[in-house]
Formats: sequence, structure tokens, C-alpha cells
Amino acid sequence: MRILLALLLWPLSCTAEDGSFDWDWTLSAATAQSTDSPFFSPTDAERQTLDALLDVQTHWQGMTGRLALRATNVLSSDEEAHDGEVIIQEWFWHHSFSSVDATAGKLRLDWGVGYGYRPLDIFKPYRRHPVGIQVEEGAGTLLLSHFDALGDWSVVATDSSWTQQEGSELEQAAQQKGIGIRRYLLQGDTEWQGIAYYDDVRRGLLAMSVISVLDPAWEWHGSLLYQNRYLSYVTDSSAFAPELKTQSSGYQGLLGLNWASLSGHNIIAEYWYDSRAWSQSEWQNVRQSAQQWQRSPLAQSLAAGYSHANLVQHNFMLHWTMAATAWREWSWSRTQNWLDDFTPTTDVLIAPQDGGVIATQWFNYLAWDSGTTSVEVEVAARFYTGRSESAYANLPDKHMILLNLKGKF
Amino acid sequence: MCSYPKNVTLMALLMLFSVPSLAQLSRVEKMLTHADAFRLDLASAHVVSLVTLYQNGEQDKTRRYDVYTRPERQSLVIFKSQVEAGQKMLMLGDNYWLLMPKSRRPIRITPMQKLLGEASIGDISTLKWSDDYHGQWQAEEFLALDGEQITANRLELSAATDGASYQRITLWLTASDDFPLKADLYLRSGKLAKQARFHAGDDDGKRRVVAMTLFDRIQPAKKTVIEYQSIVPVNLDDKYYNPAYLARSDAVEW
Repeated sequence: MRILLALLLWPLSCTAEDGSFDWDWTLSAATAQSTDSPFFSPTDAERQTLDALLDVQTHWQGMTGRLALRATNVLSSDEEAHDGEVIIQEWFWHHSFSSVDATAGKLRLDWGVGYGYRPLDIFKPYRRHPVGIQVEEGAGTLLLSHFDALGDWSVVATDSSWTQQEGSELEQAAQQKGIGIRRYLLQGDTEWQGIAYYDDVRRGLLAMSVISVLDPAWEWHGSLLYQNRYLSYVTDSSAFAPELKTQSSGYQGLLGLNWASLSGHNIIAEYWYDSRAWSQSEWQNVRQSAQQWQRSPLAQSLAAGYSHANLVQHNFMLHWTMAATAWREWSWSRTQNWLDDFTPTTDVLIAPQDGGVIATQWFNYLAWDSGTTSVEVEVAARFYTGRSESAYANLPDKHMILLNLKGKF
Repeated sequence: MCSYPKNVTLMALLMLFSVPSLAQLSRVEKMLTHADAFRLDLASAHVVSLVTLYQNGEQDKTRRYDVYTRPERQSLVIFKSQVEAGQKMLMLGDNYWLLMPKSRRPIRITPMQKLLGEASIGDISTLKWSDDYHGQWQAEEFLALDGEQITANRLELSAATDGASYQRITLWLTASDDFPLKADLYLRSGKLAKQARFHAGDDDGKRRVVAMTLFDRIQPAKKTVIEYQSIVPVNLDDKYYNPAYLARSDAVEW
């Protein structure tokens, strides 16, 4: 093990002339308020935490490595113990042979299309738009690609158990080993993608995506995925708590529109459906049961639907961001040069089936940027709200407010 | 029905006064081709640009970009500054992809999103006006630049592509050899965005544009200097211009 670690870290000990090192650091201070939910035991009404992350990526003679040093609960208002770990996010080798490119190692392979959700991220689930510190890891991958004039043909074999961070019971059970083929095609202004994949969990998966630019301002994108088997928590009247079971025929579909205006506004609207998530009636059933066991550990076990990739079947998202050029539109802001480094972003995720809403607001300010170093200040606030009986409004947190300091060097 | 002959006459008159003659068009095309050659005289090249942004006369930040360009408006921009290391932009005509640092997912962006992004990207990646603009000769003028009186041709360029950084450019070229002198750059809204000055220098015995200064006319406190540090012929393999290869090219030593 020590020899393996030494081999992995060896390129990091090389001098700058041997390879490049791209460093990122984050300090994240968060305050969260618990919600009044029948599913979860009441904890402290408010808790504060401080987390930290140091992340480095390097390339050296065809090798690419990315490591993260993460410290959680460096400071914490409750009694949670602080923890630190080194996570190998990626470590892979890439080489171009005459007509085939080969990549082997631990690699994040992201073929998904979409902003709010990416059904085609089929090798490892990625958390979307985290407000705090999030470390994503790759899967063990062997990828062979042939690039032609229109796109590429790829053959891929992956093993998602090469993960250091422990996931939920569902994530652990869904770790897969499989092999598949992908065709990517660019025809005119439109990109097509088709994937066929077989693994030991889903026992067969077919997926496709399309992205097309309609005119200078508009783009639309879509994804469709069918999987033969999937793991899901099943609410069964004979058992007290939902049970993790293998189900047949899962579907996911996403349709999105992206619009940008000359005045600097960018809006994305997306709808997606996930048949694996709980329906409104399933949520209603577990909620009624949970109310009998108000906030006990038994009630928490009923909330297994919160482990699914999507908490609800029907999802609608709106995203808005404003580019620096927008500040040039008004005479009052033209002279305030600091505004060029200030970016507001809003995400609103709506569950039409039960009226749940997750609203997130980011304010980013690039406080320092010399070209060689930069420091960014981010204030983020996420609210879990909507109708009181909705799945989103009954998540453990009512709201989270974060101050993130991010740097690069 | 009766109005048809009137329309034809009107259109013929409009064309007579608004459309330049073929001879004039070809003269303008030649001027633009000559002017382009002072910026980039290679079909496929690797251009290293250093961009320095100034605010109130003081240096604010620097950026370095390596641009690999080839015919048919195809370019790959590698962001080389430490704070942007790993970022790439692929441009295939009016199709654009952006790969963020440490990401494995190229993001398709629309021409409008490209215009809203880092302003310098458009300025460093557009090295040939003849690719993106139609030109029209306007007048011969005398310019006083750096204490010199120069005879110049004034051209009016209008965007011919969706991804052109500016909707309209007024460009002044030396009457003697079509060397670019200065330009007024207008946005789609019609607003004057920047004024450019081109700086001549010697590169291996050839006179060429070695730097460009952009004076921001909307935010006058801002100024950008783009230095073309190196221009060498390079033919990248076709796969580097393939969007599917963008995430993979991260593993390549640039």
C-alpha cells in the first residue's frame, strides 16, 4: 500500500519543469437551520460548520492525476468530530496510437447533457450544483476511442467501485462493472450521442442525447435513457420501512432550452422525468406512516426516497445568470468597474407533482485576479421550501447559507 | 400588381447606390487580405498572445492564450494563465464548445454566449477580418498618428457570421500597403465598444502587427493590450478540432 501511494504521489514531488500543477483551495463556512419534518429527529435548530479543501491536478508524461485533501468540520457548533482525508479523484494514463486513443485508470467520464440533471452520467452519479465543498471521484475506466471527421466511436469498460468516499446504501449497492459502446456525431449545428452499455446492476442500458443551436441566441438539448434493471426503495404495505429492491424497466428523459441575450442574461429551462423516483402517492404513503412515528429513527428509515438520484419523478428547473457585460447596459453601473467581477446566479428547482421548491442564490465576486493567483468570494443561500407536505420541504435542512472563499494558484 | 414595376425601379436604384461594384469589391477584398497578412499570413498556425488588462492606467491582470488556428474559421484556444489552466475553447465556424478547468464535460455554447464571455477571446481568436466580415471602401483620409501624417483608406466592415465579435468595424489601412492603423469596433446594439490601435514591428525581417491596444469606450477606465508573442506554422491533427476530443486533450502536454 505504501509503495502504491508513493508511486501515485511521485509526480507531485517532481519540479515545476517536469509537469504543471494546478492548485485550488476552498474554505466553506456554513450555517444551516433544521426543518420541522416528521421524517427526521430534531437536531440543533441551527448549526455552523467550517470545511476546507485543497485540490491539485498535474500532468506528467501522459499521466494525469487529481488529488484532494478535504477537512470536514474543522470548526463545528455541534459535537461532530472533525475529519480529514486524501481522495484520489482521478489518476489515468492517456496515449494516442495510430488511429486509436487509449485512456486507462481512475477517470471521471462525463457524457451527460443537461444543466439540472444529466441522465447520461451513467458510470457514477454526480451531485449537482452543490453549494458547499464537493469532491467528485472517477470510476476505474478503460476507454478506447477512434476519432473520425464527424465525431468518435468509443468502447468503454468501467468499474465504479474504485471509490474512496462512502456513499449511501443505494449508492453502494448500485456500484457497477460493465462494458459498452458510444457513438458521438456532429452534423451541422447538431450533436448526437448514442450509448449501449451492459453492467451487472442495470443488465442493459440504451441512451441517446441531442444538442442543437437554433440561432445565435437559442440552443435546445435532450436526453433519453432506458435501463433494463434498476435499484430503488419500494414502499410495500407488508414491510414497515421501504426496502431496496431490483426493479425492471427504468426511464429517464430530459428536455431543455438555453437562451442568452446581448444584454448579458442567460436563462436555462429544463424539465426531466425519472421513473425510478417516488411518485406523489408513494411520498404521501410514507409521510402518513412517518407522522405516526414522529421524528424517531423509525420515521427516518421511511425517508429512503431521499437517497434516489431524483427525489421526485417530475422536475422543472429554471436557471438565470448575468454576465459581466450586463453591467454595461446601465449608466450608473458603467463607472463601477468592480461590478465586472460580480456575478449573480439563481436556480429554482420545482417539483410540479407536490409543489416542492429548492431555490438557490449565488453571488460571486472575484476579489483578486493577477493571472497567476485569484481569490473569489461566494455567498450562497439554498432554501428548501414549497408546499409543507412536499418532499423538498421535508428535507432535514430548511435553509443553508454559506460563505465560500475560493482560490487558485 | 400595379406596384410591381415601381418596386423594380426602386430596387434597381437602391442597388445602384448601395451595392459596391465588382471592381470595388475585389479591391476591398484585396485590401482586407493584405491587412490580414500583416496579422496572420499562415493558413494554419500557433499564435501565442499575451493579454494585459489595465484599469485607470494600472495593470489589473494578465492572460496568456495559445491559439491553434486553421482554415474555415476553426480555432482551438488553450488558456495558459495559471488561474485558467486547463480551460479550452473550440471554435468550428459558428459552433463553440467550452471546457472549464478540471472538468471532463465540454459545454456547448451559443454564439451569443461566446460574445458574453471573456471579451479578449474574440479579440485574440479573430485574426482574419476577411473570414468574418464583408468590407466596403468609404474614403481616403489623412490621419495624424503618433505625430505623423498618414494617408489611409477607411473601410466599413459588417459582420458576415453569427459569431463575429463585433457587428460593425470601421477600419483604417495605410494607402501605401494596407497596413492596419486603427479601428472602431461596434456592438450589435450599435454602440461603439472599443477603439483599436495596431502596432507595427519586425518579425524575422517582416513588417507585421505585433500588438494591438484596445481602448474601452463604454468603460473608459479600461484598456487592453494584446501582444502577439509568437506566430509559427503548426498543423494540429484533425482530432484536436473534434469536440469529442476536447476533454481528452487535457491529458496532452500543451
